[in-house]
Amino acid sequence: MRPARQALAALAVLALITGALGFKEHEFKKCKTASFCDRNRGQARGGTYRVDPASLALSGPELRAALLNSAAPGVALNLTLRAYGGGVVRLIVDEPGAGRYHVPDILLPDLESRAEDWQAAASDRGAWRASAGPAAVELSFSPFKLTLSVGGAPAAVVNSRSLFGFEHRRNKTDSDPAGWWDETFLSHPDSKPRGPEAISLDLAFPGAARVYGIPERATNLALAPTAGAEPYRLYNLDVFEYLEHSPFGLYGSIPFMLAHRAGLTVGAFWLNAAEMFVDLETTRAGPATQWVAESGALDLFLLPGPGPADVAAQYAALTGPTAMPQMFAIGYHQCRWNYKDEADVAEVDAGFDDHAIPYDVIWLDIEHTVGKRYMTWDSSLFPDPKKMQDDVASRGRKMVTIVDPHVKRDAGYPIHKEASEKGYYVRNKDGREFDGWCWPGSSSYLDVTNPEVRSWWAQQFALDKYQGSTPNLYIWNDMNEPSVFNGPEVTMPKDALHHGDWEHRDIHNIFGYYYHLATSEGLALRGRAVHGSDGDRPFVLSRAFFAGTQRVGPIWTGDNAAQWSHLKVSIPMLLTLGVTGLPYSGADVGGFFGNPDVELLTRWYQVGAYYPFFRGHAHLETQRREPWLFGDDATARIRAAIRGRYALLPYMYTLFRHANLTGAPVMRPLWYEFPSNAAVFEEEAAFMLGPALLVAPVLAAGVDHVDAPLPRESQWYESVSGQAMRAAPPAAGADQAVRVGVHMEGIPVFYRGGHIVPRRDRPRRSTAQQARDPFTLVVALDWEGSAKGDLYVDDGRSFAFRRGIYAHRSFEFEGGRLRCAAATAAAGAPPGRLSTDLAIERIVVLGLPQGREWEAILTPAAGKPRRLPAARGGADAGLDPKQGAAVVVRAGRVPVGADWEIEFREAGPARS
Amino acid sequence: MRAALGLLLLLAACAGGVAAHVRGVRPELAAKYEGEEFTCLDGSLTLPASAINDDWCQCPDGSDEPGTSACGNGVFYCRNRGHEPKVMSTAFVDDGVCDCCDGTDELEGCKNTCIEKNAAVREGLLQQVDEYKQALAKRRDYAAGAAQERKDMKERLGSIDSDIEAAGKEVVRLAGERDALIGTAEERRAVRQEKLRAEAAQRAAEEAETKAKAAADAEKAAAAAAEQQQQEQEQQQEQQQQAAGEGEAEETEEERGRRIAAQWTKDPAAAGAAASKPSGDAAAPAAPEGGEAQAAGGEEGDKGWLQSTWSKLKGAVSGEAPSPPPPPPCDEEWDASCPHPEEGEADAEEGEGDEGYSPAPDDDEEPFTPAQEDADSDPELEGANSAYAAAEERVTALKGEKELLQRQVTFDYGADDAWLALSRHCAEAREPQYTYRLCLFDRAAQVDNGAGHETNLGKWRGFEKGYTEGVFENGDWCHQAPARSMRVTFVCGTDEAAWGGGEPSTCAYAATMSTPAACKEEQLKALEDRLAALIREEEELAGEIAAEEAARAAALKAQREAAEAARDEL
Repeated sequence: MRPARQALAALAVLALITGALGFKEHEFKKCKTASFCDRNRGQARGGTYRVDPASLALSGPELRAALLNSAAPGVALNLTLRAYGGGVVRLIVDEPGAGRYHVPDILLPDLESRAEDWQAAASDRGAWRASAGPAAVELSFSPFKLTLSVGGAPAAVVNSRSLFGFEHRRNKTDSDPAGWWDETFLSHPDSKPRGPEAISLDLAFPGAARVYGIPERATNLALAPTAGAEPYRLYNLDVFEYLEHSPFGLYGSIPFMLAHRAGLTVGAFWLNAAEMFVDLETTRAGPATQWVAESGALDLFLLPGPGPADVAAQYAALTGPTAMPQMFAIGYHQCRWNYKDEADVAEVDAGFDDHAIPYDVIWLDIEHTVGKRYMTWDSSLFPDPKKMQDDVASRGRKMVTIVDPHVKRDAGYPIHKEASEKGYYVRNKDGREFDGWCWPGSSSYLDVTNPEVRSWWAQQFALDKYQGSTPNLYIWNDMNEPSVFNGPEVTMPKDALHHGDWEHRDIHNIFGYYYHLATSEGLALRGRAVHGSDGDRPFVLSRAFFAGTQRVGPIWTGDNAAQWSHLKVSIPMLLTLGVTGLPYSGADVGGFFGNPDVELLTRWYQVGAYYPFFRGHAHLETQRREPWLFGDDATARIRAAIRGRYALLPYMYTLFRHANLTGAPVMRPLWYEFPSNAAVFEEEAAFMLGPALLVAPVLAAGVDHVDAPLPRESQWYESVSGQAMRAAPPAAGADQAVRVGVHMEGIPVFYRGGHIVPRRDRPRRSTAQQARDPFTLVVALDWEGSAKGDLYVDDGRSFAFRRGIYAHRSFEFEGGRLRCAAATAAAGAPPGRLSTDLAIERIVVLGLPQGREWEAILTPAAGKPRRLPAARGGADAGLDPKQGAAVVVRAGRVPVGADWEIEFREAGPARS
Repeated sequence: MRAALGLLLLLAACAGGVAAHVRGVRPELAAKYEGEEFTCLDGSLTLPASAINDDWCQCPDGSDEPGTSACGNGVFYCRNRGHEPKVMSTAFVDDGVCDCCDGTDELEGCKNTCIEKNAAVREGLLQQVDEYKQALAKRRDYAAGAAQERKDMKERLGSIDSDIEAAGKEVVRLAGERDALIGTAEERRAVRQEKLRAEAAQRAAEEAETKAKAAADAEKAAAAAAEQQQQEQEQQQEQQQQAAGEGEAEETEEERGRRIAAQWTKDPAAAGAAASKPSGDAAAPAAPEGGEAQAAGGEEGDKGWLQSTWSKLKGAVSGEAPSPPPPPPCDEEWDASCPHPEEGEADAEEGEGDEGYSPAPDDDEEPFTPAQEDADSDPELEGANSAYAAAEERVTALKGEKELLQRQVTFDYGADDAWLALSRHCAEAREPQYTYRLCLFDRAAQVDNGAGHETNLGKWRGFEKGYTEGVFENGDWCHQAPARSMRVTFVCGTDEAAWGGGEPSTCAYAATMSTPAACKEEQLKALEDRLAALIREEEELAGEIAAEEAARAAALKAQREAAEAARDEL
């Protein structure tokens, strides 16, 4: 934990110098000050639990048994073990009759239909054994232990260290220890009418090399052991000026962890929405963890892998894959707290065109409202919001307004009036409307755990309800942890009451998800009303999240700061979200708090262009930082970075389609693509965009070179010149880092040999104008001279793709021939039947022998072959061809929707 | 597509009467695109002429594709006959958005709107010329009144010394009265002590009763407004005592909320309604001092603001600080028609929200302390003290006025002294968070709209760039930058107004201000010339369009005749 201490010290010094406010550690709980964590952390009480063999009952995919605790006679817990397709195993431990909270609305509704019978079930005196797909389980009776083995070796074990614990419900006695029935944190009392009810999960990953996951926190990609430090915390909180290295939980929680070694990746997902602490210890047998949740039930899924992509698909099969975003939504977003009035919006919008910088969406923060009453417009600043939106939309662009879950308590505010009358607010422990302090002052919070409230809330987004909204307006949900300024740890008291009389304690970590979901459903409803049954894919950005948020919309990493350290930590933060099923995420480019200097801002744009969600944002009190305010050089560099993003959108959109089908991340850690290469298991500066691009960013000031970790498994090509990085495959064990010089014009990016990347190289003002443009294919050959890739195309907006109105094309280069054909339809998706007239204008081949002239012969499926002009050039269209190392084919207009083949032939030595 | 392009080229050729116009090329570069070969403008490559606008980018500088979107870095030119030419990125060519009013950036779908656009610009210019004339008339009035202004200024300078002297005598007199009271302090103290003892006993009894009642029935007690207020006042005192003592004060829910909100923004009013209350609300607690900066109503506060600012600057505690102007009445308080809804709004809900809340005082001001009710307090002596202090303050204010006048007589007010009319004028640029006050020939300040906290942006230094900019310098100290300064850009206008206040770089502020003083006769001439040019453009365009129509008709006729001739041949 040395880096953390250094960071703290640095921050303390900063605070001394500037008197600035910063992260206030003492205002947040630690394990010691959270009674349930303190009394369970490291407590080896799991040895007294045993499975009653007489109680075993197997029925198809489900085994039931009683779990007894000799330390608590008379308490019998229900244990359930279920198997699903692919060898996913679910362990549920519940307390019959106790009415513990089971998290609804997260698992896919059809999950149970994918349950598969246990195979080869057998038991003896000591254990019950069975298998499911590639996984084998052993349920040891006494003490209770569950082992999941993959390929014959244990991969995940429950209660191997006897840290399992289940605090059963009990009656209050005078001798109960402090903290059982009430506790107080910084003068915030928490009445705990149900007493202690925590659950401790002991989960070890024998043989694993690293563990990843359990976002959200600003820390390393590969999780560090917590011995002697704070455990990782999962509790959605609005943390002011968070530190760049801390186990502290931030705005969202996904209780999902991956354990990895060369040859095997497994996952563990505990579906529980209460506050959770997770300890990690590195034992000789491998990483071992203890998870302590304050309430709810144990509902644990073990995902057997065996590869990273398998785990991603298994997780997506539980909680759903990423919603397919609209094309505009993966363009560049320009945000600021606040674009102050209609003239400001018009000026910023025009500024992008004046400087020929693409962007798709301009955002309005809280100041656009009347006193933070969301869905109202301050008419002195925004007298004609529809006209403003229509004007922005006339150039194909969109707008976003902020809508937060706190509702101003003002009887004259229709939303408050109606919500209050209908009893739609979260209640305090006494059953009255909870009243907390947030931006509008005294506020109440919609109880979005109630489906009726969600449905009502969704209706508020109808065009005739949300005055001043148009079909081109989308939504941003902030503060939905929920943030309560005067609440404990800036959130809601745990004894506040929700629908069904559940305590806030039980549901805290899904509150934000539900609010996000309801808002998104609102836009879906509006989309159908406006566009008919194919609708309009919602776009709602959220700050809080939970497992399942990926089905709803993107998130961002909240209020970061304009510091190099925050640029740096954004990468492991987003990579972690990627491998925990929430790939559509980004960090505020430039840093929210403070003023970035021009170098930091430029570098941030250069990195941010590869974030799945790409938005510039800034605090109210920062100086303006639209991309053209830092001089001509900086403007040109930022323009190049943003245009680079737009050029990659066909590839990124295709990656999102894969995420939408299989749960695969968009921005990926190197280990995900090179799972057997132990040298990259902790790599968190360089990252992959999909399988084909490696980004080696510049993350510090004044840097003149970067050591790019280019995994030896692949050939790599520098992305501007197309120059191959290695002459021959490196020997095993050779250093993989390749030193490359850097300048301010860009950061090093490499094409991976063996992959084909579709691009659109004509810069436009926004995605709408790109829609008709021809494509460029970059074909990066592997050592054998082969490459593969694909391109997914649909209308970029509606749900028509669900009925097959899309085109998915595959490209394959082998034996000197590039072939275009229909891609195999993914399981469960209808075959694509969109006949597109889009075309390819340029084919760039990297890795053909140099010093030769090449010719390309196009053979259409029907028709005569014809020669396409081919010449030397760069991988980047803007490069002077003489500096390039690629063969560039002028394809004219080769249709992307037709089958064809292009043969590459040597046409003699190069002409000078 | 090709046909459409061909037609355009034909039209351009006929109308312009020059060699075939290459789409998107600027007239001054046209010659470079005329030969058999084309050399990229950066000299990097030489290509056959057929490579120009062939939708395939070859020049690294994009110059071979001025009329297509093939190069990312190309430059497109449209002539926009009848209006003004435009130069833009080729990224916008054929993208479905009409950027050029002549429609030439799109092969299809754009109407020629140059004449309409011109008409709009012409209308705007006409109006501008009209306003300019009015403003110049006003400016002449300013200049005419300047002599009187100068005279008043000198007279005031002449009389102010005697005012200062008189005020000084008053200070001496009041000091005497005060000293006399100090002599009799002990006797009067004994009398008060007895009176207070009796009052304290009664209040203690009341408090005990109140607390018992509150415990018995919290809701009922809360409903009793008077008692609630009493409790709040007690709480406030208690907090101040605690804050003074242990440092760990017990916060109310609201205070906690505001404190956390203030982490995100320096503005304590960022969360929730601003703290100030309508002045007519008798139940509201006393406004904290400095409250007058809370919601400055506008122009009528100009002079008052100046005075109160001066007194604050000098650190004087004035009992006569101007009270805040009452906020405008709002029936529906959240209704957007109510100006500045963030401020002075009362929460509509009974017993909820902002009632009774008094904001934490500004960091850099003395905390508000209610009068200490103990025997040591001596109302008579305090009265004498404050009268004495007020007199001293008046002396200070008069000296300040003298000093300002002495500086102001030395300033440059333009060749005809027209700017002198603004010597007592303050304009305000109101932005969401701050209001920028520009008092020309005096000082500039930034006032926090929420807390009313004021930052000095400097004293007037003088004009720059021929009276188009004015500079204030040596304002409050700034961390990591020179002392705060404000640069005002003046534009001609019929009235004084300010806008666009901001901080483009650290501690260097800027705003724009309009005033008739900034108007210049030669600018009116320029406007009138431009208007005439636009009208001429339009007339010429009408002629060109007619010629174009004729040429097209002739071309069609020739085509038809050729076709007929061909048919005849068959």
